[in-house]
Amino acid sequence: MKQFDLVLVNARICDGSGEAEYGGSVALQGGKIVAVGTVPADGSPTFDVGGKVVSPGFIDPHTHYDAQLVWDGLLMPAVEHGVTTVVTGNCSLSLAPVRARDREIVGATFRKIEEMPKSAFDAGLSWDWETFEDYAATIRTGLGVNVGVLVGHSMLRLWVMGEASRERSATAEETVQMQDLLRQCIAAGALGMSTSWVDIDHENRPVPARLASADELDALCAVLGEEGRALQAVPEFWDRDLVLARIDMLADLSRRHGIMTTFSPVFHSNAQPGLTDEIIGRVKLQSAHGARVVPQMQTRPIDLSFDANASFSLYGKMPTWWQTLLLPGSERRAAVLDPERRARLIAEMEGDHSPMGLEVDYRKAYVKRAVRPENKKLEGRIIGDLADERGCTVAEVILDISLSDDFETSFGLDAVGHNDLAAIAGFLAEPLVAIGAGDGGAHVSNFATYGDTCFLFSEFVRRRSAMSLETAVHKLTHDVARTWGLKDRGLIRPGFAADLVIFDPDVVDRGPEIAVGDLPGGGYRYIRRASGIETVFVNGALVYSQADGYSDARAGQMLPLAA
Amino acid sequence: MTIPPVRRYTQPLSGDDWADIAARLLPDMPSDAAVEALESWNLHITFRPPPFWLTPSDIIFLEPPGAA
Repeated sequence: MKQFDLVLVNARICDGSGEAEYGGSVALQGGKIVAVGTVPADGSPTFDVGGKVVSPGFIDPHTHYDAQLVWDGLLMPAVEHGVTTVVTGNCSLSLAPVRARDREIVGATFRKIEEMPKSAFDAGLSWDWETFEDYAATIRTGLGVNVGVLVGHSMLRLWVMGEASRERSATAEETVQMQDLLRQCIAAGALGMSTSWVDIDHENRPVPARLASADELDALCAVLGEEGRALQAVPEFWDRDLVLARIDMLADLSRRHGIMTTFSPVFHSNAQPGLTDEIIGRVKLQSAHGARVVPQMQTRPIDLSFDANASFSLYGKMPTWWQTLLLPGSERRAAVLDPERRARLIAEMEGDHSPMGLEVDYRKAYVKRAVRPENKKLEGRIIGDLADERGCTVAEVILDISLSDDFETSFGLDAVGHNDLAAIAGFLAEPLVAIGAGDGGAHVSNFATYGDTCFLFSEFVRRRSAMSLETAVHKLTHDVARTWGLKDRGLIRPGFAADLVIFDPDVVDRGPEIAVGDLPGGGYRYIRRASGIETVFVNGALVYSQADGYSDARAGQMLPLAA
Repeated sequence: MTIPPVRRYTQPLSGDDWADIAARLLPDMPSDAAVEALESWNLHITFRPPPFWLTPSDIIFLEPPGAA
C-alpha cells in the first residue's frame, strides 16, 4: 500500500543537525517528513535526487519582504537560493499595524530606509489593511514560502501616539496601549517585535522607535516574555562603545523577560579589525550569564550604491554633501553649480573615507546606472579613470554626470566592507554567530541582497574549507529555527515540515548581480540568480526547480503556526 | 552577578539637554565644564548632522573612552 506522497531517493542527507551526512531516502506525507534513511519501496511516487544533497530549507532571519509578500508570495528569487522561510518586519519597520492615515508616511519611510522604488510600492501594494490580523490574512493568500512577521516598534508607537511618536517618549498610558496592541499582533500571528537605535526616516528624522524610553522598551519586552516571542534590534554597529552597551542592554532585557534577543548587522571592518572579536566576546560573556543575545552576520561583502539625489549615511562625515543633497532639485542644481559650494564638495570627497567603518574610495566607484542615452555608455566605467581622462577630480565626475542625468545616476562601490573573507570565515563558523542580516528584499534599486546562502557554500565551504558542508547547512537551518523557536523547521527528521532543498555542493553559487525590470509599475531591481540549487520543496510541495522554474504550488505558512 | 559596563552610560529623559544631564549626573563638576565634558565624551551626539539631536533611546556616556 502506498504510504507516502513522495519519496526522495538516492540522496546525500545533510539533516541540519551538523552531524555527518548520510545516504538514504526522505519520505514526505501531508507536508511533513515522515521517514528518513531507509524507506522501503511500496509503490509510492519517487524522486531520484541523483546523489545530490538534500537539506532542510534555508531560513533567512533578516529580511524586508513585507511589501513584496503582497504581490509575490514566492519572494522571487529567494526560493532559487534555497530559502524556504523568511523573517520579515525587521528594524522597527513593518506594514502592520498601520492606520490608513499613516500609510503615506510609513510607505515613505519604508522606501527611504529600505530603498524600494515608489512606483513598485504604488503599483504593487493594494494597501487595504490596518490591523496585523488583516495584513496576515492578505499575505497568507498565495504564500509560496513560510513567513515569520515581526511587528515594528515604530508602527506600535505610530498607531498609539500618532505624530507624537516621532517627537517624544510615551506616557504610561500610551505604553499600556502599546502593550495591548502588541499582544493583539502576537495573537494574530506575529513572531516578535523589532526595534532600531539607528534608523532615520524619509525626512531624516529618527524613526519613532528611537523616541522610545528604556521603560517603554522594557514594557514591550515584558509582553514578548509573556508570549514567548523575540526581539530584534539594530544597534550602532560601527561604534565600539555604543554597540557593546547595546549588547548589555539586550542582555538585560533577555534575562529580565526570558526572551531571545538578536541584533544585526555585525559587519567586520578593516578600519576596526578588533571590533568583531570584542562584539563576540561581549556576547559570550553575557551568554555565560544567562542572556540570549544573538548577533547576526551576513556572508557577502558589502556593496553599496549611491547617487546625488538624496542624503544618506555614506555622506555622514561630508556635511556639504549632506546638506546639498537635502535641497529640492532646482535648488540643488544651483547649489552644485555655485563655485564656492562646488569647491567644498570637491574637497570633502578627496581623501580617505571610512563612514561607519566602511572603506570608501570614490576613485574606485563606477557608474552603475545612467539615465540619458549619452550617459549610458559610461555604465561600468570607473570614476577614477574618468577623472584622469577628464583632468578633473572624482567629485566633479560624479557631480557632472549627475547633473546631466538630473541627479538620477546611480554609482556603485563594491566590497567596501565586510570583505576580509578569511577573517569572516572564522566569525561565521563561531557557534554564537547567526547567519543573517542579509536584508533580503531591501535596497533593491541599489544592490542585490539575494545569494548569501549560496555564497556561504561556494566561498566558505568550497573555496576556503572554513566549515564543513554539514556545519554550513546547520547554520542556515536548524541553528536559525532553534533561535527563533520554529520547532518544526530546520531538520530532516520525522515530524518536521517538509521544507527541503536539493543542491549540488560542487557547483552551488550565487550568480552575478543583474538588473531586472520585474517590479510592479515597471521598476527595476538588482538580483542574483543561483546555480546548483536544483529543487525546492515548501511544506512538501515542489515550488521551484532549476529545470522547470516555478510551479503553481503555494504551500507556504505563517510561522509560528496557530496553536 | 552584574556585569559592569564597558563604559558608564545613561539614557536621556524626555526633554533633556546637556545642562540637564550634567546637573543630574555630574553634580560635582561646574556646569560649563560638565557640559563640555559630556559633549566631548559623546561625539556621536555632538556631531550628529541636523536636523535632529537627542532621543530618549540614545546612549550618553558619563566618562571618557578607554585607552585604545
